[in-house]
Amino acid sequence: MDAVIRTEGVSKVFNAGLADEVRAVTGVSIEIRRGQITVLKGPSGSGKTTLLGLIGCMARPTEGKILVEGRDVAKLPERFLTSVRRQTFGFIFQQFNLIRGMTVRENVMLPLYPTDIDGRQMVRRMEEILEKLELSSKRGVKVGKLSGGQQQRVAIARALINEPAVLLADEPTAHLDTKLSEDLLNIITTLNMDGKTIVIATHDPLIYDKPYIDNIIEMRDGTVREASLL
Amino acid sequence: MRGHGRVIEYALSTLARRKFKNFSVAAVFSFLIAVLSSILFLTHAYKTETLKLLEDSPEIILQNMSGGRHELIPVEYITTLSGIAGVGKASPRYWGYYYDSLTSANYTLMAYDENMQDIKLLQGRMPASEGECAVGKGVADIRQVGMKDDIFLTLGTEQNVTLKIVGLFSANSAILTNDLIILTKDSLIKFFNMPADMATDITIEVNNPSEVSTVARKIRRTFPNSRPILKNELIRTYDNIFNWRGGIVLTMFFGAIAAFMIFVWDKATGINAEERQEIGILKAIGWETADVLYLKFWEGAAVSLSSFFTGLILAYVHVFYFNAQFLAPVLKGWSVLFPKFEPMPYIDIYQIFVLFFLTVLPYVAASVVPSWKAAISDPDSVMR
Amino acid sequence: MIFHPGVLGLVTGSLIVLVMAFFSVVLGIRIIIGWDITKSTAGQLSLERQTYLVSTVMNYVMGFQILSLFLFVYTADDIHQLFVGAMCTTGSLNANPIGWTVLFAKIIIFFLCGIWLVINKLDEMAEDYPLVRFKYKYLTALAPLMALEAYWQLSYFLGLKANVITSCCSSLFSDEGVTVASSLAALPVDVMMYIFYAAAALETAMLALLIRKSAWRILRYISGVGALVFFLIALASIISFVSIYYYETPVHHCPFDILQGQYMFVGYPLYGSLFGGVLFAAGAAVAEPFRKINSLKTAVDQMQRKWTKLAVLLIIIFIIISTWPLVFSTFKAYGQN
Repeated sequence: MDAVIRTEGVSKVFNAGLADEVRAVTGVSIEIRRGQITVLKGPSGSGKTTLLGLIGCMARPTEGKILVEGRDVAKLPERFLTSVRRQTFGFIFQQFNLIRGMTVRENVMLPLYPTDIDGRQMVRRMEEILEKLELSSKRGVKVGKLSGGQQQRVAIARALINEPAVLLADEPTAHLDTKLSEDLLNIITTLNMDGKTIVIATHDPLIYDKPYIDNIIEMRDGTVREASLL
Repeated sequence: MRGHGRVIEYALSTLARRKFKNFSVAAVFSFLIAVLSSILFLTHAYKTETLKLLEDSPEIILQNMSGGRHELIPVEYITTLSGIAGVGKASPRYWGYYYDSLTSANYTLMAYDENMQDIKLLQGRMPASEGECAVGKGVADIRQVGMKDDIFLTLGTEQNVTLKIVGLFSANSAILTNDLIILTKDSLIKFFNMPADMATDITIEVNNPSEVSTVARKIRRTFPNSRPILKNELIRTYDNIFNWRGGIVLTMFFGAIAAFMIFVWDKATGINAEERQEIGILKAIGWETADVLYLKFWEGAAVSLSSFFTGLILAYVHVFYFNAQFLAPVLKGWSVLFPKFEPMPYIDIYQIFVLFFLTVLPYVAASVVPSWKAAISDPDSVMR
Repeated sequence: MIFHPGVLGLVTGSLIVLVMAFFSVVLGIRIIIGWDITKSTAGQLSLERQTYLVSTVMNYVMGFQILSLFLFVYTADDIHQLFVGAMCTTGSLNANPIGWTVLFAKIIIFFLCGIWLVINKLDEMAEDYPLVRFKYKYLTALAPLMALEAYWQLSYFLGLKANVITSCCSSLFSDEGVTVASSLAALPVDVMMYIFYAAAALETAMLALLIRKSAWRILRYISGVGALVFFLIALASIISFVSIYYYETPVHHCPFDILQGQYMFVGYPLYGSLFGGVLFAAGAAVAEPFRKINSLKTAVDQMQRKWTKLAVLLIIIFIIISTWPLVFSTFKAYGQN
């Protein structure tokens, strides 16, 4: 099975050389396989969110290699890193990170605003995704007026608008009750069946105990403690 | 290119969402631009008005000098002057100043001659016989007289004159006619008790405008005691004075601009938590630093350009509809009877250009670093 | 003199540009010293982010530079009243000869800034920023020139004395004079027209060819030099015949009056298209040597094609605007010479 992402000895140090130096991730080598659901499991402070950010081209590692579709992005300047991220990844954040004063449709299309995509195509994609996530009736509503579950779905819709190969989720159930968490997982599994590769950073057993999780990578103190490749 | 259009749209919608904050910046900026534009518009209006009047004045005005002071000039000079090559028509002018103790104002008294036919009358006609006069708007107002009323002027027991107003000058080009009383030559000579055969000065027309300075030199050689005043010199002097006045006021105003720039800096750097969060989200969902910079540029452009045009319109209304009521006292000051000046509306691209340079560019420059600081926030900041 | 609003605007503008430029130089020097693209340290990241700031600042500086060029000409026109014999910009510039230096300096800096932006654009298109040191060294050299220009501008305005007797365009650009400008004006209109149209056709043809054969190196360089030559010929032609057709007077050769409202501001699109066209043609040529750098090859190709197209478009617009009155005006200059 081929790897969409492979890291080789990746480390990330914040405030290097200063008194408050933090080694968030140290020497991590993992593989994210195409079409699988991978969970980064670990307590808060274990470095899973930082690792998720590194995988998703949000930041550059201090050391090591990160191969995205076989291409090393570890040394790419921000300008190019962003374009890799735009093409490959969709992000779902712990806080939904929606812009509250704007409508559902604007929030969903926002990632594509600065790109060269044709306007009609952008709208078509947005309509399709809203349809899929049962949000069509809410498209003109300001996101601040939506319930928590609806906001989470808008955030997913936004993550899908650039048609990413890989969906990254950071503690997606942290602000949801059990019912909504299950709904979310249903959506995620559906997306996975559609062929999306999914990486979830979480410490919620509701997620990592699910039988359909392909791959669990357990982290502690910035290193990989155990990787169970199923 | 398509992306740019959408970022601009987004910039505008962002401004709309933060109406109050942006409105306060725009309001202060508009006000500053309005004041600045009023200064420029008004000085320019004064300047053009004066220059327009001077344009019609004769090429050379010849004064007689005695002991370095302006003296009456013998009318007989005209015969000799007409003999100088290049001199067209030469004619005597009779005029003088009159201080009216009743109203503590200075009037200009001038004898009527046929060259004055160009001056626009609001109503009535020019004085034709002794005891008649035409007066400027300012004089009529301060003396509270109108058409057909009498006006009494006195310089002691001997020199009294009662004049019947037969003409009123219109308010346009009030700068020249405001404090003016025109009466017949005989009335004026009698009132000022001027010796016969003497005039106040002589106006000279020159056939070929490019020979003015040569003619003036010849005149000076012929009459060593005379002083020819060239129209061009007058124009230059006025031009300079008005630029200078406007410039001084502008310079003083610079303090205000500087203060405003600090205000902008403060507003822009003091990006509140909500805005910081929003930029963080944009970076996280795939906006690049350059995109955010572009967004910030358009936010700034929208605020500064809308303030710019609002300010210009305010100034235009202030100067041309309300006669610069708030500003005129600063710029005037050369006459007690300052004309109630109603500037002719105009739009001058150059001035708009200059104003743009003095206001929008400093604003843009002041906002560069703060926008950049906002734009470089870490994409993963929203994950922490 | 200094209190003229336009002068205040120009001096303020120059000050702002200078502050911005030297700010960029400071950042640039830091980048020259500390840059190491292979490192992912916080220091390197911060340098990378500073490049965005310099790019933004330089874009603004370019904008200022263009505006200040026009404002300078405009202001010189506005103050001509102060000088005996001056009737327009030319007279005011003659009143203190350093005025011409300022004008030329502004034009040169316009092109140098434009070239910097060309290099910057290319550099930002390659993942390893191969030109980063070069472009900041360039910038460090450019900034003092800007300072010099600002100084000249200031001394021009400070040195202006009202009542100086000066000569105006009618004498500077007259057929009888012996100056360079007047000899341009004295050139027979038809000869100048042949030269102009030949140069325009040649340059446009070269550029058009380069749109298809982007990698034709020698032609690329020739077209770059050709653009500058064409620029000079175009300026000479504006003085020699374009102006008189717009003014419809056989002796009025002034290159500045066409910027005035009475000629429908036609000078702005005229000069705008000329400056833009020449800059894009020259920029495409400047990009040529960077083709040797592997990571820049595609970027150079892509941008050269785009810039060449823009150059052709702008030069054609320029030719149309210059030719317009020749075709549609009733005025005929033939037979005058």
